[in-house]
This record gives sequence, structure tokens and C-alpha cells, in this order.
Amino acid sequence: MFLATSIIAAILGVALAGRAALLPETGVSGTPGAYLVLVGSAAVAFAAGLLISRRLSSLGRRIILALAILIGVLTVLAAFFLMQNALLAAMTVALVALVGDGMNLNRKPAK
Amino acid sequence: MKSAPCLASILVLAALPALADQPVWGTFNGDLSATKFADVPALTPESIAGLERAWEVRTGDVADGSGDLPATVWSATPIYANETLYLGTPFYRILALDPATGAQRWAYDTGSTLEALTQPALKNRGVAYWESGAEGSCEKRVLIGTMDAKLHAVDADTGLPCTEFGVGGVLDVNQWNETNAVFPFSLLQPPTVVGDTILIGWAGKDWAYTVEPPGNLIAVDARTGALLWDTGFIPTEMIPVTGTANIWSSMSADPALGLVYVPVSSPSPNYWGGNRTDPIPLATSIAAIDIATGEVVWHFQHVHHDIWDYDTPSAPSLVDLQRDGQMVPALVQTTKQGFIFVLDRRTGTPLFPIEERPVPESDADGEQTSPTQPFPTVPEPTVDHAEMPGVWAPADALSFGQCSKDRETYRYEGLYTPPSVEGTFLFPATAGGNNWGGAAIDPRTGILYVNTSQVVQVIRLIPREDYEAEVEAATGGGPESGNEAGFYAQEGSPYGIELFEWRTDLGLPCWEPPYGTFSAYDLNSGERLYETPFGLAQQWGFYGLRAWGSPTLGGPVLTSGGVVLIGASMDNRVRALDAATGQELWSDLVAAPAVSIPAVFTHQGVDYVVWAVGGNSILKAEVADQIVAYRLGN
Repeated sequence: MFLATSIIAAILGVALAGRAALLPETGVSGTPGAYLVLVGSAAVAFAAGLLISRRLSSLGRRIILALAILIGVLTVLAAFFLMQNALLAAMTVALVALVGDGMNLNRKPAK
Repeated sequence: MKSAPCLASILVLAALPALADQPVWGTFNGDLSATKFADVPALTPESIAGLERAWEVRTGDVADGSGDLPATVWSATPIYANETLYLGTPFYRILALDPATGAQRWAYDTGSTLEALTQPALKNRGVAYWESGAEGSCEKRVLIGTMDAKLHAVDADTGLPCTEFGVGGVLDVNQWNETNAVFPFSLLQPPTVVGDTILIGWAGKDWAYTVEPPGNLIAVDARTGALLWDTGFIPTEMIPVTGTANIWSSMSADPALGLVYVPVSSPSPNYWGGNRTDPIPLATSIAAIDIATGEVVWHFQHVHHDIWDYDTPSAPSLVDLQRDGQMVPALVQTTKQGFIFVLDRRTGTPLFPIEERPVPESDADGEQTSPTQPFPTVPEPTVDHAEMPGVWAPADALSFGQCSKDRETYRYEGLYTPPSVEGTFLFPATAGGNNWGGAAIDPRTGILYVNTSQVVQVIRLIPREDYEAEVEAATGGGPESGNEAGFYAQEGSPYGIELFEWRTDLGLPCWEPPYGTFSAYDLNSGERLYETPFGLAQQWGFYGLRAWGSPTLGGPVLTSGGVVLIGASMDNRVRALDAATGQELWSDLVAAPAVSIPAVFTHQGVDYVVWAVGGNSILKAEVADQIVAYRLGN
């Protein structure tokens, strides 16, 4: 459930970041920062998708989750400094869901 | 035959400075007093949240410099006159629009060359308007200048050329570019119209050569374009060795006194003055010129022997101030140095004490800096240049101490530290402090409102023998100069120069914020009422904190309801501020930085605020062609 939430929020983030980067009068149209959050959102969505769809080793899962959380944190920070509030909200949800999944993972004994 | 309309036009236009209570916007600065005060009482701190976009128009006249055309820089103030909105574009076209809808009534194309003849960009600051007071074709005219110094006059109702003006409606101002003509004139700022006289300044390339065209003010007849007089600002005996001291910015006028007040720029070359060590009293000055004769009635030089490019940047604002229980007709000049000079506009006498203070000496070959410079003791400057801003710790850390090393390397001993071979901090930067946007003043209270940039540049003199190699190494054969930064040859002098902002390799500013502020001053007492960070800086799309503010380019307009309307910030927002506090009340995203002065007026009972949104590479590399109009919603 955490990962599904993360995927949906991150895909919404991709749409919002794409809008910010590509449409006029967003305040950040065409800027490197806007493209950065587009890539960041897509990376989080991809990582969450990987986590939900593939059988991964425990180590592989932890590495991908850690990377996704790191990218998520950076994307949230970037969205804040781009003043893209909707994107900030979406990626915060995606990030919280990833962290929730991580905490869930830590509670389960490794098989 | 022409005396009746002539008299009428004098009466109509002579009254403009006193018409602060009329919600029209007839000149670049609103009216000839250049107070940028709009008597629109409905735009108040309480109502301004209801400001809504009424319409927008894209002109199509835009270039980012990546194709065949140079980049555009568009800073036009829309003119509201004759129930029509008139704008010039950076492709040197005039657009006449319906103020209520933005629908185009007519357009006129000057056919100007779109080459950057004198500037690194295609620039335009709008149009001027003249009317005779009589009825008929070409009794109301719109005037636009071009990059190649053609002044076009067209009928304000139809957009057709006024053929009695110049030759077929076009006056070639470059015909008077006869002395040291190393570059053509450019007419980027609309001329100033007082009665039936058109007053023309021009722009050039004052960083390129040592001996250049001497600056002058040209007066022509509004009907015919015939030369009335031509007043020069370089002493005759100095003309063989120097030039410029031109007027590239807007002017103000007091028709009752018969005077036009002109902001005169620095002599050439910009950053070395060994060729011009004799006094040039009118350079970097405010000069009061008799409109009828062209005689210089008084002048006030605010930089002696200018080697910092601290041109007088804006039209002085004319306002009456309280002095010892009496109202004194005053003139208020904001400057690139961040000083506010307050003078009696009848005589040029300072209304607050001004001290001549010692300033650092130059060690450049042949240079003879002035031993003193004028410092107004009141009001406080808009830029605190007693000490340069400190090194900004985050930038210093991310550059592994480069900013700190620079601080030790480059010279700064306060304002007017001369350019040097080792490098000198230029603070305020060459764009100011305060620039062509000038200030807004409430004529009822004498309170001045002004936006200010706090930017640090480095100016480095490059010995002539090293110049070409340094430019080649740095640019790989690319263009030498940009917009207020880059390499400049100063041909004929022992030094070329390099001018750049003090930044890290990552582009972060090395100096502590704020980068821009907004301030209010009571000009009766000279007291600063407040100073607050203004705007948002932006890099790669990321915004800085509000406390950092933004460098600014463009000017404020004050409404009688107590709201300041201003673009000017590096981010793509236009804003409304509470005049009482400077705090932001409203903003809207637009297509690029609105580096312009808005027009604020009432059309058919509805109040409008209109900005030209064009961008300027001095702030950031983003251009647009947007005209955007706002009005209060229901």
C-alpha cells in the first residue's frame, strides 16, 4: 500500500514537474531546476515501481529504497526552492510513503 | 495660421506636470514631472488583492539571441493617451491597442535595421506622444526612435506617417552625428515632448572608444522636425580627446519655469580618464536647460571625473517640498551610486548639505582621479557603501574559499575606489544602485519610493598590450561584450577592461544578501522611513529566500490609494506593495522579468495597470513579448 501510494504520488509529481518545466508562466519554465525535479519525480516513480513489481534481494531492495528516499528528499527540497507547491505536496506524499515502506521493511525479519 | 493650435498645445502639455490628479499616462514616467504618481484612489492596500488580469497580448517582436537576430531587451512604458494605449517594440514597431481589450487598432513598422549597432541587444523603451490641440490628421502624433537613429512620427489615430515631419515622416537624427562619429546614434529611449518641442537624446557605445561623439541635447520642432537648437555637454577644447556625456535616459521638465532637466552620462571612455583630466563640468551631471533657447541655466555635477560609468541614469523627479515653512520647487535625483540628491530646481542649490569628501587615488597610467567627490549627508544613500557587503559564507564554502581569496585580491576602499590592473570591486555595480527606473514620489506628502540593487562587480584594467590575447583566451573569438559585463576595448586608451559580477564558478554570488531592497524616504526631513528586501532572486529556476531580495531593473509607480506597483525583480513577477510598509500585497506570474515601468490610468471609468514584459539579460537570460493588463475585479 505504501509503495502504491508512492507510485501514484510520484507519477502525479512527474505530471506537475512536466507542467512546470514545459508550460509558460510557471515561474520556472525551461529552467534546469524544473527539469531536475522532472527527472527526480520520474526516478522516484520508477524506483517505487521496481520495488513493487520485482522480486529483489533484501540488500537490493534496501539499496533501491535508500536511493529512492534520497532522490525523493532532494526532489522535495528542489520543489520547495522552485516554489512549486503542488509538486512539493505530491512528492512529500511519495517520500513519506517510501519512508513508511522502509519502516515496514525494517519490522519484517529478512527471509 | 499655426499659432492657435501651437498655443493650445503649449497649454495642454505645459499643464502636464500639474496634472497629477488626472488618471492618464502620457509620457514614459507618467507625466513631465517624472513622479510616477497615478491619481487612482481605488487601488488601495485593501482592494489590490482583487487585481485581475484583464487581457494580454503577445507582440511577436522577441528574440533570445540564438538565431540570426540579437537578443531583445524590452523596457517600454505603455503610453495611455487619445483613449488608446501606445507601445514601441524592440523590433521598432508601434502598436496602438484598445486599453479595455488589448485589441490592435493599428500597427506601424519603422522598417528599422535589426542589427545591434551600438548596443549588445535590440532595445526599446517605448514611444512618445504629442498633440497640438487642434483637430485633423497628424494633430496627434506618436513618435518612435530606432536603433539607427531614425525618429518616426505617425498619426495617433491611423498610424500613417506624418509627412510634414522630417522627410516623409522620418527624421534622421544621425545627420547631426558629425563629430568623432565612430559609431551611429541609437534612439532607444523615447524623446521628451514639451509643448511643440521634441527633445532628443541618444545612446552610443561609451565603453568602446576613447574619442567618441560628444553628447548633446537636440531640440526639434514637433510639426516639422526642424532643428531648433543643439546643446553640447563636452567643452569645445575637449572634443578632440574625449566624447559622450550623452543623454540616454528619460528627462523631466517644468514648463512653468521653461526648463527641461536632463540626466547627463559620463565621458568616454568609461573606466579610464587620463585623456580628459581637464574639467568637464556637465559630464555625469543633472543639467537644467532652457527649453526655448537650449541655454544651460544651471548644472550639478554629482561625480567629478567619472571613471566608474556612474551615468546619471534617470529623469529627475520634480516635486514641491516643505522648507522652513515654505514650499520649495525641488528636483530629486536618484543615482547609480545610491545617492538621493535633492536640489532647488530653479537654481540647482542643494536642499540638504552635500560634503566634498576625499576619495582613493588611482595608480593607473596617466590617470588623475578627483581628490574629492560630493556626498549628500541627508538622505541616507539607498546603498550602504561605507562598507562593501561581506563574503557570503555558503558561496565561500562551496567555492573552497574562492570568495575570501577574491576579497583579499581585489581593491575596495569605499565608494569611488578607482579601477585598477589588479582588479577593483565596483560597488554599487555599473547598473547601480538605482538605474533608469528612478523613483516614485507622492506629491502630496513628499515621500519617495525607490527600488535598489545591491550587486558587486569587479572591474579590471587590462594593459593594451595584453588585451587582445586576454580576450581571445577568454572568449575563444566570441563576442567581447555583453549587457553591462564582458570585455570592452576602450580603444585609444592604455587599457581595455574586463567587468564581471563577483560570483563563484557555480554562479553563486560571493557577497552577502540582500541583493535588492525597496525603500521609502520623507524628502521633507530626509529621513528614511523603511528599507525592506524586495523581489526574489533566481538561479537555474531556484528562488532565493525572501530576505535576500533581488537585483532590480525597472521602476515603481505609486497610486493615490497608497499602493506601489512594480515589476523590476529577477523573478517573473509583477507586484503590488503597501506604500506604508513596503510589504508585498499581491503578485502575478508573467512571462519574463518585467523590466519596465507600468502605466497606471483610468479608461472609460475603469482603472488599469499595464506592463510590458520583455526581460533583460542584466537580470537573467529570459526574454518575452508580453503586454499584460490588470484591472480590479468585481
